[in-house]
Amino acid sequence: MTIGGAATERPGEVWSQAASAFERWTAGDAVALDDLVRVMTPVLWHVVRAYRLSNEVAEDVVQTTWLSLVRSREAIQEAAAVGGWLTTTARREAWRVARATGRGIPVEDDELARRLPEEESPETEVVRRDGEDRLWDAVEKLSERCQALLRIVAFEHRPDYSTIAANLGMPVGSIGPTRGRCLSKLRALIQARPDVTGD
Amino acid sequence: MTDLPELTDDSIFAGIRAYWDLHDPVPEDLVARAQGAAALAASELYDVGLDIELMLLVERTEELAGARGGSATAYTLRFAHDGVDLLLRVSGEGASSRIDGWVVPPSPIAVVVQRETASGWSDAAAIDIGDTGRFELPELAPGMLRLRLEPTDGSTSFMTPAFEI
Repeated sequence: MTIGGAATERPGEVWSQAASAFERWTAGDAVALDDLVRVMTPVLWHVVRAYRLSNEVAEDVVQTTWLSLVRSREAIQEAAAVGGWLTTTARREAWRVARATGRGIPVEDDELARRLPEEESPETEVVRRDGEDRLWDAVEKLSERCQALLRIVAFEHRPDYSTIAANLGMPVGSIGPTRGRCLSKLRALIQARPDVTGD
Repeated sequence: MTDLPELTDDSIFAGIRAYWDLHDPVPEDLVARAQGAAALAASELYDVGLDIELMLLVERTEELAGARGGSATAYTLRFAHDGVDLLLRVSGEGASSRIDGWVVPPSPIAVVVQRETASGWSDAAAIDIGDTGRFELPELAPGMLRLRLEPTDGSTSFMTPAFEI
């Protein structure tokens, strides 16, 4: 089994596949819309779920994003912009729905319980590798706000910090530094963690 | 203790993507359903051209808050397009469901209920609504529905995305 799948590909590659599919679709190739949806839906899922929406609501937001794209395709003049258009639309929609349904946006670090260690399935064991092991443990120790921010940034391609800032309820000026702080914290957690379990 | 991998931003972000891909994976059928919804929306645009506009789902509220993982007994959907809001309260009645709907602002409009069948979408009911903007659809069997709103003054019709009851 591989860790791969569309979601773990580098955003730049995903974005260019999306641009190519969008170009073919607007040129009249109806099947290319399927390709576009297949390539970008995993990215949209991860971006939307960073807003703590339930599975069901997150799926609705992803679907709404695709309907918006179909309706607005004339508004997207550069095929290369389609990835950014989709993630931005999905984030705005996720933010709006999260507010409307009263589901929290990760804002206060203190109120957020840390993830409990999970029981690992054999499948998980196979997938995990040395470095990743430590990186994943470190991700779990981050505050939920840092987890959400880094999740979005990891799946985005050249994220637009001003809309992410507004979405996550952070001041615009703080998003770059916050991203930097979250990354530094993650690095520190990776480096600091002694291999106490001895495996 | 093994050697640490090189911690470039890129490798960290790749690891974060792999983490989320495993811990909160994309639901199995989401891509297929999104492809279906997008293709349907696109075919509607091709088929009916500018005679019909798609409404967007802008809000979904479940009434049994806190029933994590459980199914709510009722939920509200709000669709909007171009200044028209359509609110639907979907509630269970035994094996069937009912929909209470409001069109805001109220205007003379016909609501056509379409149901997905093996051979595509077919009209299941049509209701004229008047000054109150309210309508009700009792005793609906489970399935995929969508509603088409046809203003009686002949202006552009609206259609909701498909939703499941």
